[in-house]
Amino acid sequence: MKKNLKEMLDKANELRALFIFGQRVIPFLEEIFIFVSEIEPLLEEINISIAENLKKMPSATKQLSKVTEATELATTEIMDILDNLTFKTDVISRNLNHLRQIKDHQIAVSTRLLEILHKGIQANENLNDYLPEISKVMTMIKENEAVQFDKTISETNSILESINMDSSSIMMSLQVQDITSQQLAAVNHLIETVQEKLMKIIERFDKTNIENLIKKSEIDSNINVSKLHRDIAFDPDAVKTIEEKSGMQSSVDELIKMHKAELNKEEQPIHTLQEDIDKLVSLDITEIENQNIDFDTLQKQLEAEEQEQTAEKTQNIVQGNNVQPVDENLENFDLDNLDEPFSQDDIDALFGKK
Amino acid sequence: MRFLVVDDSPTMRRIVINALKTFGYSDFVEAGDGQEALGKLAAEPIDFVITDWNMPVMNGLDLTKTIRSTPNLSHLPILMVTTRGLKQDIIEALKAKVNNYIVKPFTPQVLKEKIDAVLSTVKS
Repeated sequence: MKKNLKEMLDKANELRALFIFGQRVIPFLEEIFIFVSEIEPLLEEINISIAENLKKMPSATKQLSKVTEATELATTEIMDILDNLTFKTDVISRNLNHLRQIKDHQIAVSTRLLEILHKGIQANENLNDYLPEISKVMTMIKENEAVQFDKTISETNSILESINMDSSSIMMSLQVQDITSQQLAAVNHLIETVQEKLMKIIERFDKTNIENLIKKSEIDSNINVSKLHRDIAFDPDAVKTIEEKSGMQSSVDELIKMHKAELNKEEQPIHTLQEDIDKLVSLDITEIENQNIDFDTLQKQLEAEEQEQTAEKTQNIVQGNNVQPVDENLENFDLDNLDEPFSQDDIDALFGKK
Repeated sequence: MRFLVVDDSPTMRRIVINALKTFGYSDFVEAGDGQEALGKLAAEPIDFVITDWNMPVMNGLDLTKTIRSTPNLSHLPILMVTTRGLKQDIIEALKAKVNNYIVKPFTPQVLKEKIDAVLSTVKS
């Protein structure tokens, strides 16, 4: 019995020690519970953020790849043109030498002929003797050298024209710089967005008193992607215009042409001949008789109204209101597929080719 | 004829001005964004505006709208030269009352064609 009581007391002591331990552990467990409940949404947010940013990364990579591709393409185009330019300048130089040779030869032959004539005249010789020589020189100049001269000049002119075309092509290729800078600005913006999100997460960590896990100061000093050498407003799809350069302007022209056509339709005089006739037809013949409507007066009235409208239109032009309103006409356009790329032809269609 | 060339890219401004020189024009004013362009418009007489769309501070579309709503500037011919080639963009530009529209990259021939087209419309 005594032994059993001792065992019971020992157990009670163990239990007491356990309760004391429990009392000490509970606040700690509570702290862990609070920490986990705080960190759980944060971890979830990090997961979402990582997933979102991972989705964006391929698009950034793709954009950078397109920039490289576009730059390579433009550089290759410019280098090809420069190679051709070297060849063309060689041809021009050769042609100039040829022209100089023709000129020198003509001067030499003409001088020799004039000298012979001069001597002949001085010696009172019969000039008819020199006629075969004169006609020989004339034929040489007219038929041979003049033809060669014209041919060389015409060839040089076409080379110069093609050099003009080359400079246009170079100018077009150089525009890639603007397009790719927009593309790079778009990637930069994406990196800034990721940076902002990461900073927000870091701020949340600060609030949960576990800032020691992340050295914020180091991140601040090492990441500096927000500024380019100048502010660049960008179109993330800018590089598409290089890929679709042949068709884009034509689609745009087409759209503008359509718009102009609509405007022209609106600009037709209100009083067309048919309308005048309809106006007369709508009047009852007896009414015309009763009211003694004079056709000449009616015609004059219509003309006066037309003149008034023309004057109003002219006034608008004088006042600088000649930019035609477009809002109403735009309603007539197909407003579906607004994300479709447009070519210059489409634009021309809307604005009118000429 | 004095042109105002508005683009945030100095390269693009140079390209446009070089092209204009080859067309025989010699009077140019430059601006890097819409707001700077408005300053230039207020300071000196301008006959023709060639503007980009995407620019910091004030973009080309807002510049166009501001010009159109300013009484002594509303008549100015405006040619938009931009990388934006979506249907929605063109419609927005038309609503802002640009006179014509070119998608980059463009050839000098296209630029000349559009300038001539705008000038012929304005004159008529």
